[in-house]
Amino acid sequence: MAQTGTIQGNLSDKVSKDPLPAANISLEHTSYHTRADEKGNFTLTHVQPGRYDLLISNVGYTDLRKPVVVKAGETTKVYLGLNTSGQALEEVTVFGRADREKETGARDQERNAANMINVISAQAMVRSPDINAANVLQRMSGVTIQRSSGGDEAYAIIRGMEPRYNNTLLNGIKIASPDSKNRYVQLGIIPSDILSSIEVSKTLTPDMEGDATGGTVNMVVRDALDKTSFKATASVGYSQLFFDEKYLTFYKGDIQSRSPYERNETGYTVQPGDFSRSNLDFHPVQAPPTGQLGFSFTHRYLNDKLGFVLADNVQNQYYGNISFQATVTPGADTTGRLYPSDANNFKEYTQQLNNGLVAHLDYVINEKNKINLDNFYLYSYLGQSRIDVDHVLIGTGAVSYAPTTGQYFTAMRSQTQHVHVENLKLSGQHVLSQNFNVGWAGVYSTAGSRTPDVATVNTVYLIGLDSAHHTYQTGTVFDGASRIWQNNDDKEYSGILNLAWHKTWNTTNLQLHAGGLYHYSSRDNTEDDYELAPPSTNASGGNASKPAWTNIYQMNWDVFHSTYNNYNPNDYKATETISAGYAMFKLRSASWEAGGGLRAEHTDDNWNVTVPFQFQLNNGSQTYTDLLPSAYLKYWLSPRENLHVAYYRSIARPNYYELVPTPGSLSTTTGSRTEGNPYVQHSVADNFDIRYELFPKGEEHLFIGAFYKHIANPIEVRLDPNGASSGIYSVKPLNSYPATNLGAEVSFTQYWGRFGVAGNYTYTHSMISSDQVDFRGKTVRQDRPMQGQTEHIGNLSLLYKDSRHGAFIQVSYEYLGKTLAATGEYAGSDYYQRAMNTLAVSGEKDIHKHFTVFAKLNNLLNTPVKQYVQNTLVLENTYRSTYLVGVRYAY
Amino acid sequence: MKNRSHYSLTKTFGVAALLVSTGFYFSCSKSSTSANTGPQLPANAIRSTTISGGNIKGTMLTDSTYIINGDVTILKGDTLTVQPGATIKVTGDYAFYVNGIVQSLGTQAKPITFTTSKTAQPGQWGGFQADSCQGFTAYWTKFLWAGGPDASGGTRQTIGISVPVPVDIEDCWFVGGQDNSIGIYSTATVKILRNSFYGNGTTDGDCIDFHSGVTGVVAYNVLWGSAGSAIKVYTDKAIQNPQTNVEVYNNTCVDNGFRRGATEPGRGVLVDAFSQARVYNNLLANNYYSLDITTTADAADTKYNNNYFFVTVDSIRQFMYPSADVGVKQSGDIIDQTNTGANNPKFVGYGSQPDSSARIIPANYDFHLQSGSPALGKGYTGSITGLPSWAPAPSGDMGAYVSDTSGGKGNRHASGY
Repeated sequence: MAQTGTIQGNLSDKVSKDPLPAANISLEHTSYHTRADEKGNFTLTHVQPGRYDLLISNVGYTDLRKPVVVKAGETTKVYLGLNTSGQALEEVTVFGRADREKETGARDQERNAANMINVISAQAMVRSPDINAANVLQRMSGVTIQRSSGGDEAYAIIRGMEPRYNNTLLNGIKIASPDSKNRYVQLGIIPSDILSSIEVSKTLTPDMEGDATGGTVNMVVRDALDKTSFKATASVGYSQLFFDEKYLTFYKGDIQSRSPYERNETGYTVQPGDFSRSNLDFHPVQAPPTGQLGFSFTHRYLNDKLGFVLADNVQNQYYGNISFQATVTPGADTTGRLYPSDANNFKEYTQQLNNGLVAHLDYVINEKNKINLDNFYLYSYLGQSRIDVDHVLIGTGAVSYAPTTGQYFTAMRSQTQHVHVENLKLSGQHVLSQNFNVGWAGVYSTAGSRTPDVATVNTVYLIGLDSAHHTYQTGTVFDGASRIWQNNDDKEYSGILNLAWHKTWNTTNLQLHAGGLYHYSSRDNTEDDYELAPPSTNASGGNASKPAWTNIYQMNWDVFHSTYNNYNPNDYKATETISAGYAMFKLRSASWEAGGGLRAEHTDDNWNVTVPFQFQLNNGSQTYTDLLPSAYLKYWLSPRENLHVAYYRSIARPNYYELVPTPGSLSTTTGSRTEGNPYVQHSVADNFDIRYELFPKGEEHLFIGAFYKHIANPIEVRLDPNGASSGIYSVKPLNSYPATNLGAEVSFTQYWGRFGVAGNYTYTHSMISSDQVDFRGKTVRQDRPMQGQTEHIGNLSLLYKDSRHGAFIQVSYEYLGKTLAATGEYAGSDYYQRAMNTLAVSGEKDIHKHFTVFAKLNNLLNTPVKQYVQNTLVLENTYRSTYLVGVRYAY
Repeated sequence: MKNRSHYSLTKTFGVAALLVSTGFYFSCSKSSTSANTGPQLPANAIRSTTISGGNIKGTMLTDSTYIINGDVTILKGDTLTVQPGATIKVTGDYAFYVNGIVQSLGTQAKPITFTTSKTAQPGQWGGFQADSCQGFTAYWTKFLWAGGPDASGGTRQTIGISVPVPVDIEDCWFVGGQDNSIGIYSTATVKILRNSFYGNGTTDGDCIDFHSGVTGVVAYNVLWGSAGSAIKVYTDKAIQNPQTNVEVYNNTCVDNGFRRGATEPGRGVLVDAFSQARVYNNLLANNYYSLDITTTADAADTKYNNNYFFVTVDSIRQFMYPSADVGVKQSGDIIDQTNTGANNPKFVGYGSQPDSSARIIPANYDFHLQSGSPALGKGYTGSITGLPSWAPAPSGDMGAYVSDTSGGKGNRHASGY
């Protein structure tokens, strides 16, 4: 073999000196070719001696031709810097693609997209402090994350538009939601390590689904590169909270997966012994460490015709929060000033196990036909204990004298939850002729959650006041228990067809696109509730006062549950059928690109309560058709600068359960009923955007943009003012007066040698008004921002990058200004979250050719979430810092 | 649902082709919304004394016994009339769902009885779920052992009404309900006169629970041994209008509030949460808390005087007017806040102290007053703000059993039920 030689080399960005991984390297007029690795290195072996032209191509860079001489038995070394191309890329007709896993690829995508997008690559996610999609998104420009307490349910707020105005996609297609109250998957359960990029689209083109007024979050999973790769990662971590205190857990072995009603024949009388007790036996333990394990493998078989990807990531986390929550009510002073009516100190302890599995096969039949099969599977397990101690300050249970007097209701709750999401997609791309392409996809998606036995046991004691104004404390008594079994199943079927025709005359390129989508989804939601009350008495008398509380094993109870009528208004089935079609054009010349078109979406929603009940609304439907025009213009000010303007119309559909008029029980906090509203209308928004885009080199960018949105029929959940005549107020989703939202965004990445700064700032100012009931029961029209709006959002990261030694450090700071966390149910009771500063640090270092060690430190300032109504503190959550160290292997 | 998936791809191509070929025919958009109650079965006129359930209307005849074997519904516009002397036995946890009108027209000579066919104990049937009724009238009717759970496990009130309609309940008995005896959550107008309540609420539940704008009169009732409060007057925790605004006078409240216990004591009369009331001439004996006007009550418009306080237990003497709240001793009150057992009202029959475990009223208990009771002749007979013209006048005696029973004054029941 000594007759052949070797070419070894390294490729980098000529200006930034960043390595250029995945660049294509070939020798002209030969079959020798390869791709650069992570660090821009490449090797061509067994090359016959001679003179060659080495051809280097990388998306976003000018192609380079370099003459080389290969001598037998020798290694020729080449070190090459590439210039960024500054040219807009041609629409790629055959299946080449920018490497989305790299930040440089992300910039290319941002530059060339017809819509305005922000992209974060796997490279940036891996080296950030973040471990799931929710964490990653909150650092992206204009995005904040709305969390339920406990932090396990996280959805994106984009440009101040709450989650109902945004959609979440996987590889460009909607996935079924496991959550009974939401259309989309919780972002907190998706490990970021299985993603190759996350794209946030802030404008829509006609080929995109129209239900994204704030924006679209598209999670793109790993794809089969042309190169074999194997990566693995493992890490361990701990929360400061569990250095400071114990983790409260409960026994899980006796939890019944099905409710007593489901386990037995119809007509069975549920007995007190049908309920397990050990899952209400709480005990403190030292929390185990958080751990994470993952790998990804990509390879191409059969002469590169068959691509294969398998990636899996499992995270097992332990976290907790120490929290305070208050309810406020107006006082008897008729000023409207609000007073805390109860003060609830609670703690939550959560174990969350997330597993994400990605499998991909693609088969390149020939260079004009390719078929893909993708499967995405997500499993999440939650085990949570929660202890509430709620002190009544105002009202019947209050003893308004000393700060400690009043009733104390303790609720101890345990729950486990299993969530799964599976998404199977078969798709194909076909070049039918030089000018004509077809793409299609069929998707089957299922999602579900199983929440067996949300068990709560209640106890109460009173600190009272005697006539001598001395306080006294009663014993603690058993105040009943509740048990809830809840299931949710979503199934979705989608079919998508896209047709594209294009032709070029001189410097002008015209593309015509048309296509359609059919999407059918169904939801089946069941709930079975039981009340376990302190024992009753019969006609012969007997003791009936509440028994003293000792522990769960000593308590007796009566089961309150009807034996024959299992009507539960929370049981419902819903279906949604969306048929959509679009046509659009793109016209591009040397210095500008214009596009536009029309999308039509027809929505057909149906709902049924499972066990019909006379006089209650049992079924209903909504059908509507929307015409969604859009248009954009991109003007290239210079090879590295774009000016992008866009208009589009979008919609927001009510959540399925919001249409179901479940006559909920009275809320204990507000005394109002929560119901669905079958008559709530979907929202329609007109959106205007302008953005200046600069791409200096490599990962660097500067975007400056502004937007204006007008939303007709925005939806808010609040008290229905129609209750004033009957005295029966209910809380339901209602359409408010048209809203507007305007704002501006700046985002940038800039490197000076090894040091860099990345950041973004978003200003949003929204206005919405509605007729609301005030505390007097009077209807007033009130203006406020839209729920979820944060006026000022800032992210700033300091980056240190030493490519030669494989070191990277990122210090990430986030500023979240005052936020309207939730619209209050009545006028003047809105929940505002005060400004927050959070700090996180991450770093990594190569320690071996294939190994990198990394660390991720989050919430270093132990920033609490604090919410106020008027000036009264109503929520405070503290989580403490978390620490994670690990090692990555890449081949 | 499964077969629709096969249809999906075809439809996709169809939609795409349609759009491309017709060049967007959608020049106007259509939308429609519907919400249905489902098919409504016709109401059957009552023709048999055995009713299997379903929609019923018509008359239950005098002196007959009816057996109810399922949930029954009175449709909107329909009336269920019950004639004097009828007995209705419910064989399971079934309820009367009332969207129309109920008229249970017993007489003193021939009262009507709604009860369980099974063991006499709380929670045996579902009561009258009349959230959306058009009117509810009951005279001389016994409501026994109701309050069985709904599907989500919640206990049910014996009579629950959440709609602004007239509610007229006179001379009735409520015994052994699992939860509230009468719960009204709306701007209903109530006449709750001369009724007797014995042993209602298991570990929670009031005899009379008003929320959200109730107006009217509660007078001459006898209320014994409820788990929670005898009479609760409440508007809403946050929204102060429409305001609950009632007249509460000449009621006898005995031994209430103990089964809910020391941690959540019940009251004889509770005025709370932005509501107002006039509270006169009530005889409050051995209630956990006697008369409680809380800090969130509309104290400016609430008037109270001439109430009678009697406790035989040291530990509850301090709660005649709970010290942390705004109610205080009035000039016409008969009250001794320092001596337990003072001011014995001289009931015809009573024990020595409240029995917190008793659910069944002892046979010897009789809250009529012996002659020479200090409650006699001490009542307030002046004008009461807002008292409707139809209301019986307040009595010159305190409590429900009074010597002058003209003009609708005075409870007519014998002791027990």
